[in-house]
Amino acid sequence: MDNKENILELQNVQKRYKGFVLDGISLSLPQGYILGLIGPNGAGKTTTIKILMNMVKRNGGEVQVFGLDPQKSAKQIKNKVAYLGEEQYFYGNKTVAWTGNFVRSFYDNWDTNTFQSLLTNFEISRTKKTRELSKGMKVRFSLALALSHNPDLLILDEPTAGLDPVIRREVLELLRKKSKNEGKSVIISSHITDDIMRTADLVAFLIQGKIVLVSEKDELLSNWKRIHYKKGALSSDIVNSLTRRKDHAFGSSGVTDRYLELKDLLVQGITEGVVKIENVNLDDILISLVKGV
Amino acid sequence: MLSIVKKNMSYFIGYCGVIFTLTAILTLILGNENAVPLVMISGVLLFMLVFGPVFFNEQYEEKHKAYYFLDTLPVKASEIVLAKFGLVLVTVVATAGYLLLLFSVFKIAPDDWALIRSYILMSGVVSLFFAALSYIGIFSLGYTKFAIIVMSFFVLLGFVPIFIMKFYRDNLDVLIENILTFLRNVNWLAAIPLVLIGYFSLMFIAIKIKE
Repeated sequence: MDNKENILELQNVQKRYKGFVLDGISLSLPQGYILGLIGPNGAGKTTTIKILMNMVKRNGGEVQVFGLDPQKSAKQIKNKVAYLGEEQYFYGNKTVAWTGNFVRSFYDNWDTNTFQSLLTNFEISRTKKTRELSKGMKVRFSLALALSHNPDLLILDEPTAGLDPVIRREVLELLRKKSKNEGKSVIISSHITDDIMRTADLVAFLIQGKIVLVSEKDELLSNWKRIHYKKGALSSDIVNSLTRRKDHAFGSSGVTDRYLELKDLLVQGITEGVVKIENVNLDDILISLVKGV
Repeated sequence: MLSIVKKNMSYFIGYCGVIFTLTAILTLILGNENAVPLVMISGVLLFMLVFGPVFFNEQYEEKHKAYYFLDTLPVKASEIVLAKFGLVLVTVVATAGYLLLLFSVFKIAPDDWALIRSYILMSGVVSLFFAALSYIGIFSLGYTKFAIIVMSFFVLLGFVPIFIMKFYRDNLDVLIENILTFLRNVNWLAAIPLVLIGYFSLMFIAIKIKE
């Protein structure tokens, strides 16, 4: 990762609810990167994101977005942030055009031309009432609203939940373009790991209120592999270090998180055909982290 | 903040239009001899002018999860609260002013005029504090819970006449005279600043709750 300036930093952030604790979250995001926040339902992804937006007050720790504390400077931060929640709420009896005008009045950098062209690209009728928009249309409309004030950071909380694959892909492509072409930073939270796989540069796993792993996605996928092996092909040290171990008719398998370190030790087995390496996806890694051995 | 005022204003303008027209027509039709009931009704209408828009607007905000929507925008909680309190204050001042202007056409004794003025201003004060407490209640408990409490309060208020008839039956005239004397003797020059201080203190509490 280049030494780019962090636009977002969380240090030991805590939030306590009845039956749930966000337990000392620490994270940072350099400018121009896409961070995927992965975790099962109820892991604390939405709480973390809402703390960034000052929609939830933290109980402890430090948060800086563009060098500002959301609890003290929420208005300034929100002026530079586009937020898209899982559910889109608007004044249902108002039209798309009215809502655009209403939202515009809150931002310093609103660009009406961008808004109009996004509405056209997304095929959203300006005269339609927002309650008449489908779920997919609402997400597109939210994106149009979110992108029209030229935000430096996009925060998306489960944005593709409930969307059909075409719109999902479209949304993810747009995020990718914003990051690569315009240097915008993005945080996207999802339990659909495929979305993160397609878009993210960095991945953070949040499980039961704790960040258990943060890594660059490519490095993560290079290190995490499933190893299939015949009995006796691996040393007991290696076997014991594997998670999600399974025995089956053709041998055994397990997942390692330090493949690059073990690579040389596995070469002989691979050559002899008693060891095979399989790529894993983020789902496999999440399950390994949740369930362990 | 202005766009929030503008959005909420539609409720108040609609009610204002109806009540301003209604009171003007009633004043023309009923005339001088019915001044007392007309003034009494106007005080209640002034209260309704605040009660209706405040509650309908908040119901609308809840239905559309508007506070969640606003929370995602660069607007401070204090601006949202200020917009709401400001609008109520302007509405009450404008309506009380309009009613006093309207009733100035009546040919009545100065003492009675002081009573009318005091009654209208008192209705305005009650409306202001009712709105302020309603916003505090809604921000603390949510619209649905607070609406149930307010409805229960109005049902209990229905028992007040029964209570008065039971305990003040023989002294009803005295009770009414005491109320009228109180209204005649209110020093509004001193009371209005106190009312405003109280109202803005409640606004400050509402901002703290909303934050």
